Amino acid sequence: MGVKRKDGVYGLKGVLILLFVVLMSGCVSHIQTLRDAQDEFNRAAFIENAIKMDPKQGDVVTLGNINASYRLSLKILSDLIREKRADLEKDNLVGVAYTLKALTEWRLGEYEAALTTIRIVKEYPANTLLPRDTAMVEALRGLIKNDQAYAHMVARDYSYGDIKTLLNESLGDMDKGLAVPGAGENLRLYLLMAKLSVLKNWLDLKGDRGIPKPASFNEAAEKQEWCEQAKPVWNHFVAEINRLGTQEAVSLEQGWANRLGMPGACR
Amino acid sequence: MVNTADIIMLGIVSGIRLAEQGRRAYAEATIERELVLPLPNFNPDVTAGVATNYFLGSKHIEENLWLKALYEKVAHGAPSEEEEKEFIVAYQEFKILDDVKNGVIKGSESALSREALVTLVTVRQFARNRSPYPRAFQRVLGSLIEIGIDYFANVPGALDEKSSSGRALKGFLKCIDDLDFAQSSAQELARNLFFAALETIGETPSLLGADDKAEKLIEAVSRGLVKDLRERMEKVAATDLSKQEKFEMWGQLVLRSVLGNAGTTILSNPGTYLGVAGPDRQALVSSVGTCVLDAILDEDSIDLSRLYSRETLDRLIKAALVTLSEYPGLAGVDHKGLQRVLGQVARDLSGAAKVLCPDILPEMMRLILEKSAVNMDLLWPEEFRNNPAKHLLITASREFLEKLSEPPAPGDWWTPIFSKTQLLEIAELVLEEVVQNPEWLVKRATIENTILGDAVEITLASLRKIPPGRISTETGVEVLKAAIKGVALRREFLNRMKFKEEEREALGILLEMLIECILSDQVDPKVRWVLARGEIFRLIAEASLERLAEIGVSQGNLLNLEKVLIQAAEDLRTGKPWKLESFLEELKTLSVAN
Repeated sequence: MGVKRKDGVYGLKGVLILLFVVLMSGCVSHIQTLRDAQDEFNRAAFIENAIKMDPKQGDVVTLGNINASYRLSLKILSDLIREKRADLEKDNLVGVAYTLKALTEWRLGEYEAALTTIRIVKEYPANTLLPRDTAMVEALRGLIKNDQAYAHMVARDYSYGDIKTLLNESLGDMDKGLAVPGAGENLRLYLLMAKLSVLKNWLDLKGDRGIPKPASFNEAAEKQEWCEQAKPVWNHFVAEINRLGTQEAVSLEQGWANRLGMPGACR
Repeated sequence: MVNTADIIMLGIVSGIRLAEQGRRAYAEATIERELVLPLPNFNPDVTAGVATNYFLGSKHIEENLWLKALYEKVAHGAPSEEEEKEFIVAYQEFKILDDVKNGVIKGSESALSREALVTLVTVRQFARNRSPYPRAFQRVLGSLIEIGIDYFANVPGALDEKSSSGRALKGFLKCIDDLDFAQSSAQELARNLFFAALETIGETPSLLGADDKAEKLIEAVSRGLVKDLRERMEKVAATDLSKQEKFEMWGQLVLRSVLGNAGTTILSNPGTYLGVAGPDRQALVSSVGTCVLDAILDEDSIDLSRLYSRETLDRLIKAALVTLSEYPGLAGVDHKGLQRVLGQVARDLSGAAKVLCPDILPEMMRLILEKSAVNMDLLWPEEFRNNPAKHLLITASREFLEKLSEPPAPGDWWTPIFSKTQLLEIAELVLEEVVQNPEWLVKRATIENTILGDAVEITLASLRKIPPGRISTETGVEVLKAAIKGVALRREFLNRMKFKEEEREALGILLEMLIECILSDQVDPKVRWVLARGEIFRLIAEASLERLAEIGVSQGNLLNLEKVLIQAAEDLRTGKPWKLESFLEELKTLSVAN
């Protein structure tokens, strides 16, 4: 009886392990693929951010690598969503996959595709999107508008007023992301930095002699308008930096302070 | 007693359950994985724009002449590359000084390391300690406990039920058998933050019922608008999301408005809108929506989208639908007639509207459309159908609004601020007059103004001589309306005549006589107390204009009127009996001068 029972217990253990391995390996390939896409995206974003803060690092090869990683991430995600949508839905991963796809499309400049992706994921039940993804989906319109404004500034093919409208609306859209409950401090910091990027673009737009100003342009009123937007963003940003309290965070604040002339510009 | 089959079955079930929990833990770990978020595009360098913004209004500019000169050159001139660099260096130095002085320098300015930046923009799915998921080991542990519960509860003999501790444990395990340990720490996930609120065309038929005509109507309206919107949105898809959103929003508003108003207009005029077969029917019906949409979105002279509300849009579309049902020819052969009219109104009236009240533009568009159908051939003759500038109601509106918006001249006392309602009251009257008699817009010989322009200008010039605080804008508007009605009845009000050594238009003479006798500083305060009341002044002005229109505008009649006014003032000054009704009656029966 005792032996029999002991054998039974050993048998149970073996069956469990075997089943676990078999079931796991067969059912999680879509999860692994999603993780691969996340890795590629992170790799590209890592280099891109580094170049943004120090453009000297941005040689052609590096820029090509960024693009290639985003492109690869998008390919993985598109295939995954097409072939394993049901599995992603079952594991509540479909929100993560679509959000990442939309972000990748944004970085590749495929704005229409990014908006379509957002539209699709919003058709799912509300709990499909978790805090970070919800915030990014909400803020993505603003991120796109900023990049469109920046492209027009570089190409100088748009009026001052139209570019400013894009930048202003971009700030408003990013606020929707910031308002998402449950988002962590780093996400808030990211969105605030995104808003600071928009404000930097606005300053550069004002200072660009190649983009004619409208007849109604008034330097003092424009500065006041800029400060009305910039001050609350800056104060929120500094509060988040203080909350983090690290030396890196302080350096980050210093960098943005120099880039925007804050807080002195609006004193 | 435990048998092998039980154990194998339990093993299989448990294995499946464990694998499921393992899979869920793996999926949740993937959901929670950190992402490095890329910043949007911007130029990280300190630029001249940053520096000029910093120095604008700063004391440094006032205190340092060299900096002021440099600032002026960078901000408003054409600086060399060296000068721009020098300006940016100056910014950096002054900023450090300011920051030190204000105690906002906190740390080193050393560039942020890549790794540090990445750490800061690496974002978790959930805030710290806010993950709704159990940890992976917690989840598996939960499953193991559940398996244990199943095992002990269902396999007889695994526990010694006879012992008190065994019985208690078994009862407890049975009682909690239904609980899902693995999910016990689950929290409610992010709430639903957005709604897909776009009302699709497919949902709209229910508003109007399943009638065959309604179906055709919806198809025609929707198709035209959708095509227009799609083309617009495609053009800006890659370059301007802001405009794309604006198009989408206005497309929806216009679609809702056209369909909402269609039931009372299009469907009650099916012969006009739906009687025509084929593409023409579609073009006529859809032209209302597309033309209004195009007029709102394409107008460069003024941003109409800021002026329209759901209500004003509804009224405009209703007017457009009614007008088209009365006069389909307004649409023109290319179905763009409506758009031409609206565009011209925006271009011609926006200047004056910006000064007076921008909100009147949508209402002016509506009024012009509403009144257009009444006398279309005269108001906008067929041969000018491609030139909306020749539309008489647009010309009339421009004429009187420009006069009303002219800034007061030095020495003018009465400087009214017209409300939207007052402006629309005047517009209603003026446009109605022009509909009745387009000759209002004939230019007078040797005079630049039209008859309408003259009437408004002379009236305003006279009213502006009223000492401040004597009449309200409302009273002034009523007098202006009375003057226009008077001129409508007797054009001679605009004839020049000599009166007390001065030659000028009869209308001006009359109005200034009223002001002189009733409102001026020379009038006895007791007289002014009675006659200068807004309502009484209005009634006197109306009665005077009306009577002179009847008996003729002559020097003698004006003198007679003056006598009556002076007598009334004298009666009031000396405390004699005086009654408003009798006085008005006296004015209305003023005798004709010989």
